[in-house]
This record gives sequence, C-alpha cells and structure tokens, in this order.
Amino acid sequence: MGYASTIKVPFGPQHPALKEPEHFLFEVDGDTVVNVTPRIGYVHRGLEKGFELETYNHGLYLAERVCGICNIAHTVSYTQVVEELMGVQIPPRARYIRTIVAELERLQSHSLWVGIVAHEAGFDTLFMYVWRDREAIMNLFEELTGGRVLHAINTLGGVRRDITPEWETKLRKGMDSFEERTKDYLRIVNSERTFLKRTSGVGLLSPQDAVKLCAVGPTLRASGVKEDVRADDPYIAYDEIPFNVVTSESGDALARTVVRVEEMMESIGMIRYALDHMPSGTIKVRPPKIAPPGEVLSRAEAPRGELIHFGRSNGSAKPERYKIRSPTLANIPALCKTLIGVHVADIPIILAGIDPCFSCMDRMAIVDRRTGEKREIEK
Amino acid sequence: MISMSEVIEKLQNHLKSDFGEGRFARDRRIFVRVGAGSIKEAFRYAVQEMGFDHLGTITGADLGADLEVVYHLVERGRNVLSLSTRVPKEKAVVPDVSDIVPSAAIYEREVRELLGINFEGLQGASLLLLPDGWPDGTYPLRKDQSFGMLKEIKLKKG
Repeated sequence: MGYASTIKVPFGPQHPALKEPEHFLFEVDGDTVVNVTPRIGYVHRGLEKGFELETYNHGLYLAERVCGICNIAHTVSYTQVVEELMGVQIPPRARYIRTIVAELERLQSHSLWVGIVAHEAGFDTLFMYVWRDREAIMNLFEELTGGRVLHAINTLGGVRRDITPEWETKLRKGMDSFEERTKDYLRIVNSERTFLKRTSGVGLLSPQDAVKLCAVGPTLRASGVKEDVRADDPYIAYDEIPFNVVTSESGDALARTVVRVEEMMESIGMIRYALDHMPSGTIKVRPPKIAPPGEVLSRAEAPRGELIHFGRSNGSAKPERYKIRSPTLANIPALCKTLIGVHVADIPIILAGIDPCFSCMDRMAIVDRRTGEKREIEK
Repeated sequence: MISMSEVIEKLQNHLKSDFGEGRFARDRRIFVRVGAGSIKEAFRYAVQEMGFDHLGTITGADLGADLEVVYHLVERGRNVLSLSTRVPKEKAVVPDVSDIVPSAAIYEREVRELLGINFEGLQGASLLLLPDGWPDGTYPLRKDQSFGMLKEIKLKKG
C-alpha cells in the first residue's frame, strides 16, 4: 500500500475537536492517518520575555496567567523557583495549604478532562454529570481564595489565606460526596459498553515509545511507566503525604481515562491526610525584594504532567531569564506517534487524550499582534 | 542511582579538558557546563551511559556576547542534570541531538526561532511557534529586542 493517493487534511486552528487553537496537518490514506505535522504558537503571548521586564513580585501574576486550568501548578513552580533563588524557607503550614490547593486543582482539572473525553466519545450524559460535580470544587475554591478559576493563593514566602475550621468542614463534606461520585465514574468508564468500545484499544502508546519520546504525566503512566514528580522529586509537602502512583498497562484512550479517575481518588485521600496532619503556625514569611545571582530548576506534577520552570537571577529585582516548559509541549511528540495509523474518526479522542492545554504551551513570543499590543506585559 | 558528585566526576573524566565546571545546587539538581565542541558527546554520554534519558526541555539564553543552550536531563533515578554550553553570537551553532533523543527536535526548533541558535543537522526549516512571514534574523528572546521593537514587526506577505 503506497502513499501515492494520500490527501492532506488540515485540522485547525479552529476545529470541532478542540476548544483551543492548534493546527495539525494530517496526511491520510483512505481513512487511515499516515503522517501528522503539528503547528503550534497561535496563542503565544510573550510571557517569557514578560518575566524579564518586571520584578519577581509582578512575575507571580504573570505565572498565574500562563494557564487558567492549572494556574496553581504554575504559581507553585514559580514561587519555588523564586523562593529558592532568594533563599526563603516557607512555613510548614503554607506548604500543606499549597499541597491541598494543588490537589484540589488536580480534581478540578481531571474532572474537566473526564467530561471532555466523555463528550468526544459521544457520551454527553457523563460529561454533564462530571461538570456538575466539578462545580462543587469550584465553589470550595471560591470560598477559600475568592476566585473560581484564578486563585492567587500562592504568594512569595507562603500563601495568602489560611484555612479556617469552617472551610475545612465544608471541604471534608465536599470530598465525601465527591468521592462517592468519583467511584461511580470509575465504575462507568470501566463498564459502560459504548464508552469501552470507543476508547479500548484506541490510540495505543507503548511504554517504550512513551519513554523514548519523553512523554509525561498521565499519558506516560497510562502506558505503564510509574513516574510522577510528586513521588520521584517531591516538592511542597509531597514527601510527607502517602499516595500511590497510579498506572495502567494498556496504553490506550481507556487507560488514560482510568488513570486520571483513579488519580482523583488518590487526590481525595491526600487532601484528607493533609487536613489531618496540618501543622499550625504562620502561613507566610516576608520575602526579600531581590535575589542573589543563581539559577534554579523546578519540577512539579501539574495535572497534565511534569511542569518545568527554570529561573536565573542576576542580583537585581528582576529575573535575568525565565523559562517554562508545560506538559502539553512535552507530550506532542508522543501524541504525533500515537496518531499515526489511527482512523480519522478517532482523531478527536486521541487528541483529547493528552489533555492538551495550548495556552500553557504557547507563551514565549509575541505572536498574536492583536492581543500582544494591549497586554499588561507591555513596557 | 549514582550520586551527584559521581555524575560530575564521570563527565569530567570522559570529557577531559572540555569540561568547564560542575556544581550541585541542592538535592537532585546538578549543573554542568562544557565546551561547545563536546556538547553532543556529553549529551550522548549522559543519556546513554548515565541513565539521564528523559529530556525535560532545552533552554536558550542570551548572555550578551554569547548565547547559551541548556539541556535539562532527568535521570530515572531522579537527579536532574542541566548540561550547558556557550557559543558566540556571530557563530551560534550547536549540533542537533534529536538523533539521540527524538523529542529534542521540538525544543531545538523553539530555541532556534526565539534566540537564533542554529542546530546543525536539525531537519525542516518551517516555523513552529512564530507566525508565517516572520522576518529573518529577528529573535524575540534576545536582549536587544524590546517589546516596543517587536510590536513594530510587519509580517511578510505571501
């Protein structure tokens, strides 16, 4: 079977499968994908350059806005980089609060994703149910931090708000009902026949390929590779909180769903443990304004996988260089590999499988001239 | 899992005089700088013989007269090695390493577009991040490019 008769099908930047702009050029032979070329960058905002222009304190606001869905992962990473550059140790209670909100964010992000995958698989009822339950977490966030989507809870030197006993009671109650619902989702994704037909054996990624192509996060773990930054390179309070690194062997769209739902169960357990073992004391120390020369690499497990922040200081109040590598970019090579050989009809669910977050991925240069001209990062 | 000082020692013995400097900042974070001539060999050695086979990312930086490339490699034993080298701006070329780690290509393209460091042997000249028609020789992350200048950029038609 030669490729003489292949045709090229452009997917995006605006297309029905994804809610964010990205372009994939598929080369198809009949109904089978034989090649795929990604083109990213539609939502670049010049953030890396933006970090160099403003002080460390301003950078926090920029880091928060790298991504809406996983903003806590980004501020955790940013504060870690800057605090290490400045030599600041945050109080234990702040570490625990950061861990609790980071896990809450994982719950919110994973349930968002389960909804999207259910939708792509043509199972809109599940999508509606999951998103309804996700609201409860958004409300808990709003009550603690004041914001449903952007939380601004992490600040240099600690956290901005303390957990009150009233909120803790609400959180525990919320976790109890969310746990019941999550168990139900796990049962559904493992037994609902239409869903299994749509996801089982679809979009296979072998463990060898996942490792070779440097995949990260649930995408990697769904291929049976037991790697999680929280366990392997612990940060905030993860070295004190027990949890299991969830993996699955089958490496298909179903495995990527099951891994995420089981991770939600783990997160619920971690939140409870952190509440039970919460240290008392202050939640914030006062950080200095400048950082001595140095360089720091921070790794964190964002909901989508390993998130890397790299900062370099020159002794002034502004960073010399700030680099972010989001998990979506790391998963693009593995995604392209997965897409080769699949049917055109399976493209959406496989694209959704890495839980792509393109606004995270696209940041570094001013590309969008319309928004670039009026952003707050302008000098 | 080998210790951090062993990593530095092994690289030093392997690269001899082209080894620049090595230090560890804290647990699991190693920084090593090597000469531009041996960066590919150092990279290959770390990936294939020391187990640093997960490429986190590649960072490019503008140091004034020089440009710097930093390869962040993660060991399955969890140490992170940031392997860097410097090249002069007028001759900003480093070898491509995507034949060793395939996913390096996407990060190399990012560094090439944003900082103008060429990766010798990197396949494909199409743009990954910047818009089509972006003028040649304009690298947004270089220090001599201000936001004001970037705003004035006119994209080539066609």
